This record gives sequence, structure tokens and C-alpha cells, in this order.
Amino acid sequence: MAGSKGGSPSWLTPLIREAKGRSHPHMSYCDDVFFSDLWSRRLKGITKRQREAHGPSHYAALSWDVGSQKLLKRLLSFHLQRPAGWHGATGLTILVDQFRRETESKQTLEGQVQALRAEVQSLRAQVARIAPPASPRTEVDWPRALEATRAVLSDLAWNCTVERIGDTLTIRAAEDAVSSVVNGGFDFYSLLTERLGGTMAAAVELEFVYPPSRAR
Amino acid sequence: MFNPSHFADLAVTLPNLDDQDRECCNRSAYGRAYYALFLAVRAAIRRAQNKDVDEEIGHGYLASTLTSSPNDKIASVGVLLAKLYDARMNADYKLDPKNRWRIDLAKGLEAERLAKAARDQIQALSAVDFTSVLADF
Repeated sequence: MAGSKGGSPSWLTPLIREAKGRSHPHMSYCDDVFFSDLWSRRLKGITKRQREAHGPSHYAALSWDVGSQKLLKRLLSFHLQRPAGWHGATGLTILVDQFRRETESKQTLEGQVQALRAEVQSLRAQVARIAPPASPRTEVDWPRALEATRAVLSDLAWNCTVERIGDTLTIRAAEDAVSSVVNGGFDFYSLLTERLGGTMAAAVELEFVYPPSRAR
Repeated sequence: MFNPSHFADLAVTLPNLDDQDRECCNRSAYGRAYYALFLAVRAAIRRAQNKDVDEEIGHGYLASTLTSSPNDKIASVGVLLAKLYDARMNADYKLDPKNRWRIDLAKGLEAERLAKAARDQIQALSAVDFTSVLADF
């Protein structure tokens, strides 16, 4: 902790100067002695007690270097506004406790943010590794797809019709074909892949339409 | 170890459940059918590589790599995965699909068809030799 031994830390000097520059009835308290005393005895004492009370892990969460300027600014502000008869030690305890909670909360949040950042970087690396190379969308040879689908339906002896509607091949199952169609999906895709190849078979949008009487 | 074919069995059952929300069951069936096949295929590939069965493979990458294979059996697995993936995406993410899935999600026969195809494909996976695509994963 920079400057924690003997006198006030060097970064405290501008704060004291700033405080002295203000016009306030309690300004007489804002001098080097007060802050040196505050820093060297109050803060250190409270910190030590808290460290002893809560153990090393708790102390690890407290970083008096990080944010110590912020704390002193707040103490300074509070000191300037304190009512007459205000007991400094009690007020300091309250402030330090508040600061401790905020510091812990902030550090927890920062830890979470860092963990999330690391996770995002890891995920990005994974995506870069596993993402398929950019390729243009497979152009479907519709006449060929239609012919292949008809051939597959014929091979399977399914009583179905097929027609192209927009970018979809619509397969209409007759009443007596419904059971075969519903139970024969695996064979259908195997045969279609054999005829069209996997890339085009995957690209062809297929819609199976069943008789209204079988809809459920 | 969990057997993903149980997901497929459940998927086949869901569209036929009585006294249940029909579309809810159909949508769930697509999801379970897809994951049944996805997990089974990934496990088959990872086992062939002597790797952890749960080591990740991207969804899109798995399907597109398999469909690109010149091996028809491998490509066919990819085709079915791709169809199921499309179904699952509509079932799980579209409350009001504007395409044909509006009808398919409401009716159970198509969900049952794809679920049975997934189940049958899983049963046939032992006959699929993934050696030629192992280096891609």
C-alpha cells in the first residue's frame, strides 16, 4: 500500500489541498494531521480488525489500493458535511463498512465480467474453429429434385403425388400410403440421398401433406 | 450413461398422447427427435475418435459436414439431421411460423414421421462407418 507507513500517502495531498480550498465551518479539521491520523490509525486499524474478523479470504477481497482515493474523497466530503458533535470513529466505521460492501460488490462484478469475457473469447475461438466455411446456398436443381423424389416414391411403392410449389416439393400421401410414409422416413431419406447426393437432398424443402381424415 | 435413443422413443410417443396440448407435444417431439439423433451421431463420432462422447461439435457444422460426404450412408445421416434441425428451430423458436411449419406443428403425423425416422436412423448407426469424416471433427 503506497504511502501507508508514516504520514499520509502522496496522492492524498491534492485532496487535502482541495478540501482546504473550500469554505466550510468544519474546514479546520481538514488538515494534514487529521488525514494523516485518519489514514495511519483509523483506516489501518479498521482494516486490520476486519481482516482478523473475517479471515484472509475476506481481506483478499478488499483492495485498499484500488479505490482508496475514492474512499478518501468520500470521507472528505462526509467530513465537510458532518453535523456538530459527530463522532468521527463511528462515522468512519459506517463509511468503511459501506465502502467494503461496495468494493466487494464491485470486485465480484468485475470478476464476473472478466469471466464472461474469457468465456466469450473461448466461444469465439470455438466458433472460428468449428464454423463451416462460408459457402453460397446450395442451388437446387428443381427438375432433378422432382424427378428423384418421384423415383424414390416409386421405389418405396408409396401412393403419393409430388409437385413443386415455389421452393418446396409437396408430397401428398393418399389414404393408403399414410402408414408407410409415417413409418418410412428413414428409408425415404436414404434413397433420396442416394439419388440427389446429401447436399442437395438437404437443401430441398419437402412438405408432406396427409389426407384431412388422418390429420390429428 | 444416458442412451439418446430414449429421446427418440419419447419423440415418437409425444404426438400420440391423448388429453394433452397437441401442438405442444408435436413441438416437443421435434426437439427430442433432433437431439436424439444429434447426440447419438456425435457420440458415434467421438467414440470412433476415442474421445469423450460429450465433446462438442457444432450443430450446423455436424449436419453440413455429413451431408457433404460422398458416402451416401454418412450423407443420409446428415440430411436427416438437417431436416430435424430445421423442424426443431421452427418448433422451439417460432410462436407463429409463417411457412409450412404453421400446419406441421399443429398436426402430429409429420412429427411422428420425423421422430420415427430419427429412431430408425439411430438404430442403423452401427452400420455407418464415420472413418472418412473423423478428421473433420
